[in-house]
Amino acid sequence: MSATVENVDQPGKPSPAITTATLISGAIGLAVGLALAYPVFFEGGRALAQGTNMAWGLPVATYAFLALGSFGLSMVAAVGGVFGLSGWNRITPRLYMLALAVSFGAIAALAMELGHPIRAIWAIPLNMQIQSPLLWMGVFWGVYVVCLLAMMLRLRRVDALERGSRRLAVVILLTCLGALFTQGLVYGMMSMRPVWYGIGTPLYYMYGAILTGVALALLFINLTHGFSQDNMVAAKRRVMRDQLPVIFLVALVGYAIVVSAKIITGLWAPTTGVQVVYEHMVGTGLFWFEVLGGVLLPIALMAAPAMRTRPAVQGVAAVLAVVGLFIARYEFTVSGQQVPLFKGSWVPGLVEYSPNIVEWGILVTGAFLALTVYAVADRFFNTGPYSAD
Amino acid sequence: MPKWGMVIDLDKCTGCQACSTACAMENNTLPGESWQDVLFYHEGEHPNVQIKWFPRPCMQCENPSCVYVCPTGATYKTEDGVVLIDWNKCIGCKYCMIACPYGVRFYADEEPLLEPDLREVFPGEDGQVWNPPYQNPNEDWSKGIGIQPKGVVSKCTFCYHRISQAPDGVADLDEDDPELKEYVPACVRTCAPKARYFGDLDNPESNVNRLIAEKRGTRLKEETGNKPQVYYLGEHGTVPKFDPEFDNES
Repeated sequence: MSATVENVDQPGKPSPAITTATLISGAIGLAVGLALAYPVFFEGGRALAQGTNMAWGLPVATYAFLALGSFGLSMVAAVGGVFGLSGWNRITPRLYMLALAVSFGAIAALAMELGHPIRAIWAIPLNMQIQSPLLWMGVFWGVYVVCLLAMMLRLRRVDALERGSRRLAVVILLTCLGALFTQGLVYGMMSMRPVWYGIGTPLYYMYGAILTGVALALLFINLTHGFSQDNMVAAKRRVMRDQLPVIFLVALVGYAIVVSAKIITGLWAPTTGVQVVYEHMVGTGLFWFEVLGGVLLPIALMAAPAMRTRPAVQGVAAVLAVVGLFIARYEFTVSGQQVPLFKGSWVPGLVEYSPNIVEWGILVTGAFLALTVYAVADRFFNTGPYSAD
Repeated sequence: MPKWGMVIDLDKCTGCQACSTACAMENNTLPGESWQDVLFYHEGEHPNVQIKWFPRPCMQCENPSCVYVCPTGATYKTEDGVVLIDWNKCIGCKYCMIACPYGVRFYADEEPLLEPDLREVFPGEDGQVWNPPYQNPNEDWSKGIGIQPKGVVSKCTFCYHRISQAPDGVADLDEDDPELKEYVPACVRTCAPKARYFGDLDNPESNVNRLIAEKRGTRLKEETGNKPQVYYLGEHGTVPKFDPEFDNES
């Protein structure tokens, strides 16, 4: 606590001790992640447990989760700018910065999973395969990252509610929606993968992104202030006590409805393979941890007015929701490939997949790279009149 | 320009897997990278259990979903109707493997299916994923022909290095014709019971068209809209329904 109240020259400015601790944690985590994942740099795909039967495994789930987290954070931030919400200008700069860092983590996880990541940089834009949803996701994501960088530079000089910043927020919001929509289409268009197929998939992705963004926003703003609202300026405190937790609760309830609808329709689906996959899924402890610990418990914590205003409770609920959302992303990615396509007796049941240590290393690398980039930006580049935000 | 297609008569196929072996030898594929696989299934319940088999090459679809989803255009369809991969453009995202309804795309840069790992026994040179003692001299990475490099997806090419050299205007590539046998895909040429036929689907005079018409050729998974250019003849033209519970009990 003493570390946070020392910054009396700039009320609301986070303690350097916390940002330094975040940076050290990020660097250590990144080093651990790289140590675990290093075989992929020398052996390529051979170092991974995924392969021909399970083409997209934990690394793709990691990339998708981080990408959705980034888009979600930016949507939470941009909504404040787009609609001129009072007080949100005190949280938006940090959310944009975090969104940019999480995008870097997502891109790193994707690059470690691809067979030729360097080639992707030129082969995708130069060949313009406009029928592929992956191309459009890349276009939206690229514009989004550029806009985020421009916004970060801008917010060093002007407020988030200034006219130009609000216009840029509109563009960021649109690129987020475009990237989320096309990423949902990557899965939702696959009629040959019935677990993924359908118009609900892009919407499911969008909803998951919003909840991830709100949860990460609550977690990191509270973390920055040492899980205390004492040193927040009044406007920020109001957002963190009265607005964001309520939005989080509403998002959680909405997400619970979406998940329930998805599971129930999956269990009753007549399409070959869908029902067995969902029956298998609901028989795992991972699924019930996701539902009970990642959705229902956070709802219970946020439902009580006296509880949801407390930073520590907000932090716990946010962490639980983030873990639950990651499990959901993993389950979604894997379950769509569990019905074997023309494998015969080689694969008599559902395709089995267990991530290996290298794939866990990619997850750790992506997550802690995001944390490191965020902490470096906060520690060394957070200057100017609005640095407290 | 022909539109090459294949007809497989399941009433003639004995499941000998000579096609799989010939394909692997011709294209230097690794174990598990079965461009031309013969799938075996159990059907029925004890004591009336049957083993069935199903030969499965790439379907070389008319509307190939793999081509549509490839973000770099590495997967493309030739004018003569064959789906190929440009290994110089492939980034190894594996989206085409997700989008293929027939599971006929392979990512050889993965954990070995069998031990010893042949990539370690015969380490690759010049970017090749492995370096077997015998290698087909035909190599063209822009068409996915030859020994693949690391980090790319591979698939059946209909032995494009052979069929693309065939004389113009040929209706069928028949291994019994001495003039044409060198242009016949390896799986067709080696098929002992002569269950496979290869020809021009756009030529009304071709034997493949006659067989499809007279024996009511069927295509797999028509509901996907991919429109395969591989047709099946015979009574057993469908794969048994996916039923993991049966397999677990057995």
